[in-house]
Amino acid sequence: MKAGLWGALLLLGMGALFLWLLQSPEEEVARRAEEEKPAILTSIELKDYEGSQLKVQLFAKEAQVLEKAKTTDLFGVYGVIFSEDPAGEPTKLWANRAKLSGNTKLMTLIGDVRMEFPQGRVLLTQILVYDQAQDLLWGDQRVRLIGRGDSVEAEGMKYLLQKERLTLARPLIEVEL
Amino acid sequence: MKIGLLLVLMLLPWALYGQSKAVIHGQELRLDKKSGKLLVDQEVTGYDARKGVRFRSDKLEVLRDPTSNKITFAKAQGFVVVTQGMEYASFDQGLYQRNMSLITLTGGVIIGNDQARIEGDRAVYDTETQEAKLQAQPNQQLHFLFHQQNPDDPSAPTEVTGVADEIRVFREQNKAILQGHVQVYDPVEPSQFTAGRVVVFFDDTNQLDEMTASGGFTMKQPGRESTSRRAVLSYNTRLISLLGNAKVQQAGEGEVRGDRVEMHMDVKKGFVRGKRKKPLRIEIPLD
Repeated sequence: MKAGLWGALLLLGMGALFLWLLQSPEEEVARRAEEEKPAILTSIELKDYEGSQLKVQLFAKEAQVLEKAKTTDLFGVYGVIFSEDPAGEPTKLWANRAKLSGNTKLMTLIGDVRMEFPQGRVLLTQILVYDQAQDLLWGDQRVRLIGRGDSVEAEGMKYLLQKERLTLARPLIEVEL
Repeated sequence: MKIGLLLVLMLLPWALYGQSKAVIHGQELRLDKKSGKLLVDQEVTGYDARKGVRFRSDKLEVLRDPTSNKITFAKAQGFVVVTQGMEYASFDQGLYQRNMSLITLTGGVIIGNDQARIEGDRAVYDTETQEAKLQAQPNQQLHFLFHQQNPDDPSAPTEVTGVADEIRVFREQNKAILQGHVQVYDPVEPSQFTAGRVVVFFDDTNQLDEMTASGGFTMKQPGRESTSRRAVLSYNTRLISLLGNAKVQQAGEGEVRGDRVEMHMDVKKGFVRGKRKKPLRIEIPLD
């Protein structure tokens, strides 16, 4: 009885495989055509305001927008994080790409992420998340902070945009004396 | 380095002074964007492999000059310990200010090595003159300990201990100056003397070579009491020279007075006949 049940299941599985193999290339093309094609935009600019004050300005060479999936991929990203203090210097950032998903107010910066702080310090990592709601840039990947005679390696970072405070977790610092 | 104590004082500015590289660990690092100051927090440890210097503190702040990149300000806080081989220093807070050429250590300052130790509340080191001044809390005194060669067993040095209001250390001159209500206790004879000011000279092995006391010298030993305006205590020859209005009262030998009296540190050996081979080294403060 048991063997009969297993045999039936096996036959059913083989049938499904056979049908899938029989699917014509045309059907496959049609299926793909139904998938959403991204809207491609070039030289785009995104701005994030706090009241009337410009907080973050992002530029990208190209953007691929998937309306149904509610995702936007930015390529060749350059950004400026403005200081609340009008006399304060802005912090600049670069990334290979960035991904915005839905209305989460989260943007993930991916690939060769670089932040340039005033006074010549540069932060390097591979993935950073910009949380608009919390006014926070954070990452839990390996981070390097270089420049000014110090070199820091850490296991993650947080940058509070409003307070302009960068915090690195479990740092290992090489200090030139 | 000529004497151990001064070596210790030289290693205090390790993290701030001299060309080297240190590796520092901590649980958290904060960057002050405006000033560029780095603050390392929680369980901070550091190591300079080239100099063999180790360091720990609860917090460490480092600020560099934006143009020269040199460290202009550094502050270590919370049970700071710096070691290099046998040398060690511990304190609550260490502050370096390049523009003032000063390193200031405060709170439970202990500086020492296998030959010497000074305990106080505050130490200020001038990186230009390479001089250090150590002080105690108000109404308290510094405690010090120096090693001297044991005349009975050279391989087992003994300790000379005491207190003073202030201690100055002069690296270039291999000496330290103890000032204000100085009391020195030598367990070998034993003896205890007091003076207003004592200049301490060290030998090449970091041990006591000579002390010159001024400002009312009074020494008490079992069976002998000596006073003079100034005194030179030579720890190599175990001789004491009393200078200026010298008076010695020795049990069984009466009283000796003179402008200059030379005697053995060992009371049993009594007074010196003949001349010293080595000239006396006396420092007279001009103030």
